[in-house]
Amino acid sequence: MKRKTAEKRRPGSLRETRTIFFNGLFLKNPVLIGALGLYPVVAAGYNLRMAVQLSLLMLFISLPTGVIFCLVGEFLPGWLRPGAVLAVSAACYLPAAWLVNQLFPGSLNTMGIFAGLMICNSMVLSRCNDYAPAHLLRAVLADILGCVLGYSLVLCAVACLREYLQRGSVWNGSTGLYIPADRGTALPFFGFIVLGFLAALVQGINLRREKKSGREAPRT
Amino acid sequence: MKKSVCLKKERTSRSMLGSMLLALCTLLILPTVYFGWGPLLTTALTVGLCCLAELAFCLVSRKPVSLSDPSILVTGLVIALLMPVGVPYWVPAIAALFAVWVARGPFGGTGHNPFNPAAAGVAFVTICWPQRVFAYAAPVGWLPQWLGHSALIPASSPAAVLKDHLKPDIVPFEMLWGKFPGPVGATAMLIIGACGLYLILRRAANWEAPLFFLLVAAGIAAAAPRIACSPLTSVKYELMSGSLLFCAVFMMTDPVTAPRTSIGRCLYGAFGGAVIMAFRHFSTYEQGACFAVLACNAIAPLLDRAVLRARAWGGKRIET
Repeated sequence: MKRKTAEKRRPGSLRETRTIFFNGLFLKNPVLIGALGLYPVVAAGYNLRMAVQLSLLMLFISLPTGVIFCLVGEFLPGWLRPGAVLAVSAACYLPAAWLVNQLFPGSLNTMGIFAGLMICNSMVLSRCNDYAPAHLLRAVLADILGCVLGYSLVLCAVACLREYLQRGSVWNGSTGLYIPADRGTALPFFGFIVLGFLAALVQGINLRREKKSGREAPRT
Repeated sequence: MKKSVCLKKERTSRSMLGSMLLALCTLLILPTVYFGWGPLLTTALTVGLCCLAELAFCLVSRKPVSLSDPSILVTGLVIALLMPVGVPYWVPAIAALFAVWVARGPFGGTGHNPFNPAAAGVAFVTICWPQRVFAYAAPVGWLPQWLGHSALIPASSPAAVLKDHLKPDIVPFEMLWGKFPGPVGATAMLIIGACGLYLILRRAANWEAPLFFLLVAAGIAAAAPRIACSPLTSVKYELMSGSLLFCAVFMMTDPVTAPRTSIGRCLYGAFGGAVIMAFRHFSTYEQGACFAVLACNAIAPLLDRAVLRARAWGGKRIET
């Protein structure tokens, strides 16, 4: 058992760390491949400002939680770990929410229930409960940063499209071209459709890479 | 060895798409008779824009440009036929651009797209501008183009009337000939049915998906009518309103996005029928055929995989 853990914890090269980071960013994107933490993307990501606030909140919650579970996760029994992740995530939420509110005054009110729901975001749970306890700190940091960045990119891209369709501007910057769309674009239904296309695109790229390299595509 | 002249010609994707194009062009005749040149102009715009968008995509992504590929024309025609008569030209234009640049090109073009590009384009504009996409006009007779869209008389489609749980005030004969408000090419039931038969007989389309699609939709319409009427009347109105029949014939049969196995196609059609009826019952839009097609496209590979696994499992059981 100890040997197995030691094998998992064997230090990897910088290239491996980079691969872990880029896997989270694109090839194993938590939203597009793992379908993790869908609700902020489909329900809350209807303007760029909100998307950035949620992304920062996600970063400030998942980073300390991941580090804590990388250090102490193995000492906790498997049945207790999900509950412990939620408790730590909830504890990290308070300073994270304060910090985001300092960066964007009034953002907590704007985010409403979506801010609180970040505590039990399935991406945080999966990275901190499954990945962090069995890996080195460097790998955990690369994984969390890659996943959060990949998550934020998808969230912001979907939010940009929806904001543009709704108001013809992105983050108050008018683009000149404007055909006002129906309010339906702000609803989760539209978010799911856009997310579906993006997920299919990433899956397609992964399949093409798999065919090209002749080896199995990375899966979560 | 000399090939017999009595042998049937081999089916190619080009010949299949040619049959599809012919069938789709047939659907333009009646709208032209009812509304004038408007539908033809919209079609020309959409098809032209699809071709230009494809050309631009090929140039940007440094792919070879295939001028002999008729699938892009099918995409343009389907988009135009699912639009209302007086729709502003930018709506089908955006649908065409979305279809080519988002649902078709990035996935590798012809034969590789997981979603029907036309369904994707129409679904996108439906969510963004539903008031424009569902703004139908009553057929009043030939309208010269110089009269413009102002001469059109706005009217509710039977699908919208059904959505309000009311009985459409249309004679079945008019429904068969498409003389009622609705998408340009999706109203003439007789022509669509004939096109479906032609495509199936020419083996340009499979029969499983549309048959099960219609059977399940009819079953749900009979079991849960949206209006106070007999089950048969409910089936009649549900199948003849909206773009249900059009999607069954021209979108569910798409060989690229449908499952490869026969059983898979039956399940695919049945799922589509259930989804479209669910959309009619529970969604805010009067028509959800394109959304149903997209949902079906998403599960097509899963159905194929399930059928192949079931076959392999059955084979193993027989061997043991």
